[in-house]
Amino acid sequence: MNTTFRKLGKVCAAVLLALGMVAPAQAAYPEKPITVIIPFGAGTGADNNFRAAQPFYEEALGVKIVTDYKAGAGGVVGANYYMSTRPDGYTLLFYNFPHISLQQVFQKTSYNTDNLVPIVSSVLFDEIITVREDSPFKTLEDLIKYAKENPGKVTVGNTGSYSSNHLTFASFVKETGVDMVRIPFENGTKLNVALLDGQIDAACSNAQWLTTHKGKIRALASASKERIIEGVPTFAEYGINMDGCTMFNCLIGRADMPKEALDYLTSRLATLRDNKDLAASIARIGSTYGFQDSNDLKETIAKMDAKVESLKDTIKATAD
Amino acid sequence: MLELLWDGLVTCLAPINILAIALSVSLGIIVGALPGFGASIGMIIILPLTYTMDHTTALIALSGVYVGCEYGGSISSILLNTPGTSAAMVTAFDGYPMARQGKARDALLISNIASFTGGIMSALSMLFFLPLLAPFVIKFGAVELFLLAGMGLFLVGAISSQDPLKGIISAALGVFTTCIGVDAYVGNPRFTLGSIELMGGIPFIPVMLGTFSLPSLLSMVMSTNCTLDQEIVFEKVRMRDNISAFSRLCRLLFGKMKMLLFRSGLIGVGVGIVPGVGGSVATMLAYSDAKRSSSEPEKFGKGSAEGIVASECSNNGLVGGAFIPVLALGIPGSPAAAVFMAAIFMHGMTPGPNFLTEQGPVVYMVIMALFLCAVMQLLLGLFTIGSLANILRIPSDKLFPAVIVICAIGAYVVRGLNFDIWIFVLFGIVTYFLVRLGFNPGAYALGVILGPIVERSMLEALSLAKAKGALVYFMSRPVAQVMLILIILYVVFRVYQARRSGKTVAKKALAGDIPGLFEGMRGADLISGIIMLPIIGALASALPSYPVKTAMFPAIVLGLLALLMLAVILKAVFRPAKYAGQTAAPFACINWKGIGMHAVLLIAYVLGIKYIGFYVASAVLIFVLCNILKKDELSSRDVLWNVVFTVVFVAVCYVIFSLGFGVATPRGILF
Repeated sequence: MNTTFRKLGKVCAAVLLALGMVAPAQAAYPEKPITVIIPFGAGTGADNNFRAAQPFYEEALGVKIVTDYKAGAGGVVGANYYMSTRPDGYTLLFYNFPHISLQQVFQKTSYNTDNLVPIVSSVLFDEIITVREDSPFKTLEDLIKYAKENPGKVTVGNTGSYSSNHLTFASFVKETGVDMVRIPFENGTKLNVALLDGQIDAACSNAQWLTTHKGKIRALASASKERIIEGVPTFAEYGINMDGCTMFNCLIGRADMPKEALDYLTSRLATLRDNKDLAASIARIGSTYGFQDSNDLKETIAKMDAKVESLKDTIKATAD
Repeated sequence: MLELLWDGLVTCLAPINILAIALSVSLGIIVGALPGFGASIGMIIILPLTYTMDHTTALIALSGVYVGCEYGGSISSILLNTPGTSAAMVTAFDGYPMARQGKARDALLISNIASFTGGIMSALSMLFFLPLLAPFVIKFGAVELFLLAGMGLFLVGAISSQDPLKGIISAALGVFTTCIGVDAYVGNPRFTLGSIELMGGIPFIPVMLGTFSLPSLLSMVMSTNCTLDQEIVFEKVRMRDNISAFSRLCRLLFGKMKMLLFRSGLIGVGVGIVPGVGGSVATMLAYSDAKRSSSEPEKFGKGSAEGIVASECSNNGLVGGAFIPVLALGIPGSPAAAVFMAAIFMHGMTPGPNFLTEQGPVVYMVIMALFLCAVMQLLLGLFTIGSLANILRIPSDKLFPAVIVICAIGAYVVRGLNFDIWIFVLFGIVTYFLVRLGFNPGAYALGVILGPIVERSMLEALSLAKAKGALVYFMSRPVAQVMLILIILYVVFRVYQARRSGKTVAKKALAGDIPGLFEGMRGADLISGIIMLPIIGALASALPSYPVKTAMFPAIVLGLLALLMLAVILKAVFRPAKYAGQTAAPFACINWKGIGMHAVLLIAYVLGIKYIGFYVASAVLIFVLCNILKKDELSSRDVLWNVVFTVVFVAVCYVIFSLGFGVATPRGILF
């Protein structure tokens, strides 16, 4: 048996040596497939959104994209893992905003909006406040009025903490000066069941749930710039400033990657702006299409960071 | 509903799904028959394979393994007197004596028919109960989930373990495990020691693989080989005789024993629905019920057909019962059900409140799959009866490394982190020892599963109660009121029962020697209590730095753990009578050299996966283990065979996982 082991060892050593001698060839970026880390499980919402856009990204970049799932802690684990990969431009991250804006402040993450660069985004989530169809709150003013008369009595659910819904809630509370109780739910399904059953009075959630529970819930206001959902006013119409309260999935790179790689990625993917097929592919899986290239994204994220900074105390207070 | 059922049947009858049913039920029978491997292990081993399957095929395959395992468990009960699964323990009471009387084939056929009936009943019960439950499901809010999950944890600890105190401690340790990482409610990190991986928490699947599969595997290779009893022989293996025996037994079971089948199946379903109460409880209940109502109670334990029927029918009835709370509420009541739920999650669906209405087609497909799996199990059991004993002859020196490699993929695949393979290996080694101290891995796993549900629902209920006023909130939850009354009645009943049986316990204590303070299990309890208390204290010292809602739940769990450990110490010091007969040191029979070697090999394997790549490291591990584990003298011919086995197995893994299913495997320098 000993001789067998010795032989095995020799073979292994030879193979290792052979591999070490293959010198990396130099060529223009991109010369090999790009790996995209998705910090959620396969088949999750983010994954579906990425896969709907993936063929278009591949075509624009002229290279294959391989997905790698690193899930945990609502994306924090995978995003942190991304910071440990080589900054050669061949590994990218597909993650959400405002999650990064919030996590860099509240969760001591190794990544932040300075060492990451947004590249492209094609899916947008509209932030809304919803109530049950038979709720006594007919307009946003009804809700604000009742909440002011009954401080600490109105329960508002949302999904998760330090999430886009949480930011929307904090912004709403700060802007209107009402005192409401925030209850974080595990996911949108459970949040909406609790809303339908009357366990909570209202919910900060995303527009997609209006289609899921059509006729059973209605939106009081939407955080979008203009009216997107029919018959639903924007917060701005009530004079409430909700700038930066939105959510989007985003393809992200490391700020320290080679400049030519970053330029290649941003310029090539920006050409997808008016691609009708991409819009149709996103719409087909039930998501809202909203294209932002790198420059658009930098602007949106700067607004978001400012919003988070101004709401720091409110977010902290409503988290606990 | 009929339309949905029809659609479900059509889905199940797609060629790929028929194939999935046949393969998964066969695999389930094989895994179930291996001593110590239960349904949860069988299901978790195939979980990585289902990852990239279509969701229908994935759920069908898992149901098939579950059904197959529950029947397969009876094979080793009957032929070896060693239950394949804990639920099949009771089957051995009568199955083994019957086999020794030369009627092994009859016993296996009875088990097959009874299991089939249980399987059909479990599918029918889902068909009946799920639509009935649907309108109530939405009423299951925070406080109801808290009561149900909390009760499940208490029951699994108190009922499913020999020592209720340690069962509850095991469950509490499981719950504490889920406190590590970013908390599910407000999102602040806890007990992470600055590690990024720990922020993501300790995930359930690697924990299951570690606490269930690895200790069983280690016990399998360290113990002396189970050998078939020479007295047990199959009378004849001609198919025609089997068929005539089968029809004779069918007449007996569906004639004279049809009420027994019905009652046992119902007990199985009922126990399955209640979270935390496992298969062994169902079979015990069904068995004692059968004995009480039998016209020949004296035959029980001596090869009574009724005993086998009760046990096997109830443990297959359990399958459908266990799926009901998973599909309707998103609460898995057992580790096997939790694996099933994990598979639903993996395919982007969320079991729980909306599932019944939104995913109707999936629900009815699962029900139809259970019907078909039961039929498949009946046919397979009948036509392979001559070769069933061969399952027990699978050489452990090949099985052990092969299953380890599959488990490593299973641990990695969900999150894609090497950290999870570490969890599998380290938890496995630690559990191997804890089991010998009387702790219960089943209760621990259920703690890991239900922990987040309990925490979340508790904090949600508290926030709601605070906003609305506690009394107003509780009065608005009728389902919770009913549940609370039931729980109180149950506790009163248990206390009454404990008082009545207190006298018999006192008598029993006289049997056996009482160990000294530092001897045997008594000393082990005392020492583990003394070691645990400072650890709990150290963990608790981190609590004040966390925000209130982040700290509240771990504080409660740690407080409870401290009280329970204190109870263990007090029991060891002041109640020596309870330890009568437990003088042997818990670690006395451990083969330290063997376990040490396996631990080193496994750790080297995980390091190997990281640095040289998964397939190469696996090949090395398999080759080394095959050679070490060979019981007889190792000839050069054996070594050659091991090389062939290693290459073929790794190649098959590569084809199945990387090429066939596209499952991601850890990448290293090589491969």
